[in-house]
Amino acid sequence: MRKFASRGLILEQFKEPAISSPIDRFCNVKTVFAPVSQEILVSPGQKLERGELLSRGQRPDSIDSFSSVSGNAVAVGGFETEKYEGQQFLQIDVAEDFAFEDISKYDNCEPSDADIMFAAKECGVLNNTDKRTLEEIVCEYPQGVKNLVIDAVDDEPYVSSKLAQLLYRSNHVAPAIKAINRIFGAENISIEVYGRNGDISIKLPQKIGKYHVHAAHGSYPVSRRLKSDDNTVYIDIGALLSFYYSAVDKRPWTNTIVTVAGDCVKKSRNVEVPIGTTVGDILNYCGLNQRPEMIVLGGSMTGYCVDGTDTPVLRSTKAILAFSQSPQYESTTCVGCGRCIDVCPEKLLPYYIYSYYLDNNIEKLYRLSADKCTECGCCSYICPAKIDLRQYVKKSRRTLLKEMWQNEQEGQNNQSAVSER
Amino acid sequence: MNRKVKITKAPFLRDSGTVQSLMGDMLVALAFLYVMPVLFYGFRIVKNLIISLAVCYFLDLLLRRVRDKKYSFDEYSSLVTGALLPLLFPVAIDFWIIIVADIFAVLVVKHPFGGLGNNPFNPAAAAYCFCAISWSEKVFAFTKPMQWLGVFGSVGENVKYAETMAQSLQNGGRPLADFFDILSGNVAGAAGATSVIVIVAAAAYLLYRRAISIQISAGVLIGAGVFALIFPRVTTGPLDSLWFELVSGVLLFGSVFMAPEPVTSCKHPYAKWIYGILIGVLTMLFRHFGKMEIAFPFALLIVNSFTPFLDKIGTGLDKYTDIGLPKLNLKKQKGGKNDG
Repeated sequence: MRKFASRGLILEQFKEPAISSPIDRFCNVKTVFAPVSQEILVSPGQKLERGELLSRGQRPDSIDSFSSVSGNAVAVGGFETEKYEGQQFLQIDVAEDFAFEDISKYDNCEPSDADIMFAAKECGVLNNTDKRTLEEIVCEYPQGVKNLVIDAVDDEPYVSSKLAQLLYRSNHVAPAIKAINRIFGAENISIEVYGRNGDISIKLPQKIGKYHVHAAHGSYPVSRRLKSDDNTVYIDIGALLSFYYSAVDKRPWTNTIVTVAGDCVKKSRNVEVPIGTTVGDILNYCGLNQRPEMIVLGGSMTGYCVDGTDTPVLRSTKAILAFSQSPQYESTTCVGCGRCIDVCPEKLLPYYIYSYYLDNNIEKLYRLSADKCTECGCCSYICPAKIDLRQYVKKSRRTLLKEMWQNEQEGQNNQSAVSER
Repeated sequence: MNRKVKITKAPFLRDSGTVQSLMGDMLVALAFLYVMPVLFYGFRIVKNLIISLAVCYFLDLLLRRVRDKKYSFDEYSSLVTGALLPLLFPVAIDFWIIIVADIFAVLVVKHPFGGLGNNPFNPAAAAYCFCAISWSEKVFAFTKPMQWLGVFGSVGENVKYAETMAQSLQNGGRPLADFFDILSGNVAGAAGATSVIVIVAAAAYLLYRRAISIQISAGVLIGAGVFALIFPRVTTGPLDSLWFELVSGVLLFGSVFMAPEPVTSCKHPYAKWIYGILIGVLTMLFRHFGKMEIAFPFALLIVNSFTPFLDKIGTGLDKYTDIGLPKLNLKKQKGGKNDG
């Protein structure tokens, strides 16, 4: 039920049939591209094992990178997609006999304390809720924390990778929470899911083990409420299960789960793949009924477009969406209807930010606090003139920051000039 | 300028409403209002409508061509102005006044400021004010309903004129109209602004389609209503004053069709309430102390100039009403403490 003063959007979730079938496992690939940082510890031609360290991450930009398959390292290169600019990838040829291990060996395991600390700190686990590594989070709460919330919220349309992990790996979730709570020592633990999933034929569980599952209702975006503070820590379910599997295996876990959906895909589903698998391989596995014109990585509201099917999938990718045509709209001038202001969850004024940005009026942009934008995309969604408001708010934030940095530089120059006299 | 754009950046889903559908909704709602005047005054109103639409559309097209090499044929915003103006004037008006009003609205109020989306003042209200000041006797010459007027040319001398409710209130008396007459529009007045039931139905349709906002319309009526309750012009009590002040003149019509115009009104939700109430109170002040019997468009123009200032006030008010993010529910586990 939409309350009178609520903001945000009610979106139609297209989660069927991906959510109703179990997670597929696919590892039959020929090449894999692993993201590496500048200092690479392996050389081309070297034989690699699964879980071998490829490069150390240079804080705070990148994390440690591990090989997700067993095979031979070939060469280092880059990709032309805008999002992957400046990021290097190591091409690995997969060995013929590479296969996934049986998933049932992780049922009801109790890893030791040493294994747990190894998994938390050395295995490159990335928490997708706030894009920090698990190591940073563990170091931030040395005395433990009061509340621990597992985030299985999938509030964007088409995406259901987190929810699928909760539903179909549920017998691993309870031992995983028990293990991670040895680090955090929380009194209240709960699991958070999104309550508005549309008509799905599978029922969401009320309890997993002895941990309650709570459905968060509300309009998109829900994720903005999941901010860790002094009393509460939000761990996303993908990070939780990676941590648990790494602890049981005593090796870093290098698979990731993506949702494949869109109208070009024959049947949408959730797939578990090694990190670095190319988009083309995954789409061919799922079966296409026509050639997609637009491929989107990430969510449907916050993702990015890729051209070419050679792009690899990273640890933080939620979904691959293949659309048969990129939507085309007629864009008109802004009519000033004010729907963007009605809908912004952060109470910003996109209409004024847009018009002041076009006039290059930096002074007024200061007062509009464009840096609070969380980039949810609600303003662009609702605009009837189909203006790309999210891009304009991003650009104005960048202009503001550049201006403030320039003022700071001038202030420093003036000070040094004064002190020289 | 309309151009086709491909969406290559997030978000990849878009809402189905467009600017054309917004204008289309307004035109449909205005079409409701042309039924009753045909019953009361004959087909003269249809002639007024056709002339007004044609002049507005072609003048707007010509000016867009002058300003911009690329232009498109399907921009309907000037059609809304064209459909709105004949409803404000009496049905008996001569056609050239409507043409002058159209030309003023498009040529003077809309395009010199930059065209669609950039005009600070409401074109229909400004055109009406210009004609009301220049040709007062013609613009305020309202005929009695239920007498069909000739379609072409001037109305002639055998037509009976009547005193509108606004005029009676100005002279200090109580209007003689019956309740059901007011509801159906069987009173002398502006062409589209007399039948209360049709305006309310059109308002309900526009609110459902989210083409107007309830805050501005309700604000105007609340502002005017409270002022009328406290300072009645009729002598028979505050409730009578409330009813007659709200249904006389073009107040009800303006609060639904003219005040919530997206380009010129406030955008912030709190500012919309202040904007509406200010228009209502200013209309009542004009009625008490002014000479014209129709006061709403003048008040609207004055408050239009306050739009950015009121938006700033609304943003400032946001700080005091911030209730924070809704908290997520963290249940304590049943059965004591957990492991670890």
